[in-house]
Amino acid sequence: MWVVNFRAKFEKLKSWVMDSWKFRPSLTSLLQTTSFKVAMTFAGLFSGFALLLLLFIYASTVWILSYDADRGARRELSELTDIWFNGGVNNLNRTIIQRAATNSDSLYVLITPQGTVLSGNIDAVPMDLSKIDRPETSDDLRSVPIIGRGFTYFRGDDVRRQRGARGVFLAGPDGYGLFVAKDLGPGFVLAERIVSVVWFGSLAVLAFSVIGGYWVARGASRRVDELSRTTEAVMAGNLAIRAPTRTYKSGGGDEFDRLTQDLNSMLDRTEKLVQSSRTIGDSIAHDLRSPLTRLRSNLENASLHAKTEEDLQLSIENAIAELDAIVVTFNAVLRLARLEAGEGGNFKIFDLSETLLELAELYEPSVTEKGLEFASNIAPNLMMKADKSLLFQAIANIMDNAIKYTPTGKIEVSAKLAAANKIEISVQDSGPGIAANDRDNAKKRFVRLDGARSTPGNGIGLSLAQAIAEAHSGKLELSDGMANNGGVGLKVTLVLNSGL
Amino acid sequence: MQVLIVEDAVDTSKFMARALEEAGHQTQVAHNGVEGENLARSLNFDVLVFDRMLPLKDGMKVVEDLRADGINTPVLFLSALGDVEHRIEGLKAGGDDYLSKPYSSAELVARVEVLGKRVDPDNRTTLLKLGDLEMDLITRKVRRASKKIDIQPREFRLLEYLMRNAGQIVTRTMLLEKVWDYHFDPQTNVIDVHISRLRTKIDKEFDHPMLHTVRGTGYRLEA
Repeated sequence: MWVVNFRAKFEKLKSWVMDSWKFRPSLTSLLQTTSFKVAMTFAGLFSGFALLLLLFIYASTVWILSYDADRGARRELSELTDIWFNGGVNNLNRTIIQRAATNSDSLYVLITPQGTVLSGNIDAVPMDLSKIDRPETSDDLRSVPIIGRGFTYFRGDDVRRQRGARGVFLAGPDGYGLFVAKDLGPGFVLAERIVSVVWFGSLAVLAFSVIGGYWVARGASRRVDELSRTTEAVMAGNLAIRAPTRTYKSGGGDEFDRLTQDLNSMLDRTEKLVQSSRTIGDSIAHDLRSPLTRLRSNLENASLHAKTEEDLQLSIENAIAELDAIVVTFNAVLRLARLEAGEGGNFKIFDLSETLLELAELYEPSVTEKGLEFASNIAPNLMMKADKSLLFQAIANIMDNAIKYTPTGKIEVSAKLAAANKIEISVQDSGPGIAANDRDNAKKRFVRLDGARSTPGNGIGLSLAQAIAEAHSGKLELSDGMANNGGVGLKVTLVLNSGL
Repeated sequence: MQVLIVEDAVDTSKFMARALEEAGHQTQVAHNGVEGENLARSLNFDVLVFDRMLPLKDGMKVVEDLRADGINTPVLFLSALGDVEHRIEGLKAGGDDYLSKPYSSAELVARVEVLGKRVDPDNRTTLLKLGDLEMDLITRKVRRASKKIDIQPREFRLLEYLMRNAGQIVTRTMLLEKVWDYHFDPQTNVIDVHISRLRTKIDKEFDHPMLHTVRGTGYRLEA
């Protein structure tokens, strides 16, 4: 038992680890993320630009320094050559000893034919000067330019300090060789140092970019993962899931928060739509099934038991009437479904007062025919931006109901501007009314209150009127109407936004 | 009357043809848009009945093309799309009337007949006469057997429509659409009440009734 329990725990732990591993972005997938690529692109651009700048600084500094150094070295060399030719090696040697002691920015070496240093102020040269060929005949001179930064002074206290210099080696008569160079000075050292600093800096920038890019990409891809986990769950059929949101003290959020909010509101809407279409499907099935059943049994009955031609004729006529009623219900349900799915309709500005007067005129005979009193109290010039035919349908539905359910008394249609941009249209009757606790129910689709079941109708009129009101950012309210004969009456009010 | 029926469902087209033939009209049936258009261009028809959605060429497109070429034979559109917007689309494309499915054969026949008898828009008649019933469109006075009848504006329009289509059956939906310009499903018989009021005015005190109820279908005004 204990073992089994342990194993179960282990499996749980394992699956948790696997899960958390699964959602951890892999390195390669991170390297492919947009944020990482952006970070790397900017790092690359920045480093490239820095290197270019560096190259420019270096090249221009070194060029100026080299030009000066070359000129100085040539001038000095020509002086020393004169001394060499006129005074011989001994004279030259003396001059070099003298100059080496005083000139701090010049480098001198005089080498014997055997390759030993006779005089000068450096003890290390980047190359072995004794190996350089000397001319065959004593009259020839041969100059070899030598550039380097490996010259080491042996003068003063800064022994062994390496300097950069440019100079010329002159292979002279009798196997002697003279090297004269000019120190490139602190400018060169500075340039060298800048180069190394920038090199290092660029590398550091690159390294930081990689780390930073990785970090940013990981954060971003975590957010993306959250979102894609949500969408995957939705695709798998779970419409109730929402992407996790964060709350900030400052109130705002980044683009991911916006995306998350948008995704969530989209899911809210989708869920509502799916639910509503499910309900509509169910309702259609429910509401059409009963008349279809009735239709079917009537037809079956007729085909089995009709004795005369007239019986058969009557059954067929009844069936057609039944079918027409089904079509009317179907149309109403479809219109309701479209409205609830957000297909608002055709909004235009029109004179509502005029439309209501026309409607009153259309219905007035039906009301008086039933022995009821009809009154209309419509404020003039009520302008509204709405779908006229939908609104008309809504009010017609309410009128139909009022006529149907009012046995005696009066029906009154009124319309007024209740507040700025708020229009109230109401139909009052003196029928039995609807008890307060039944009112919400009455507005529901296909609900027919007990008293109404025996009358023809589909139970969709009021819910369609309500959906139409909602499509006009309004609402439908039920309240008591005109009391009469023991009934409290019903007042149906459409409170609509004029949309202007 | 020669009627062209363009409808791709064979059963439905047979049913339509039979209904129209029983009412005394000749019909010809086409099952796709192209065939329908070719027949319509032969100009042998008084009314064209087009389904909105047809194979090979859409019914709306066919009618648009016919109208563009100056062929003005009245067109009745039939459609499973019954919304007001669809209706407006159909009428914009050049249709003269629009009937959404399902419909009764009586409704179809009534609409086709009214379309076939469509009055010339240039007709400047200002006095409508039917038997001893007279209607002056300018002074808006109605008389029957020289007796003045007091009539309200809407009743006047209702009577005018009935007189212009005298002898024809007009359905309740047609009246609601043509006289009131409404497209909705009233659950109570609002039209019947208006008709019965009108009937009281034009028939009650006279020797024979002119406004007849056609059971299950609509009304007919006769001399």
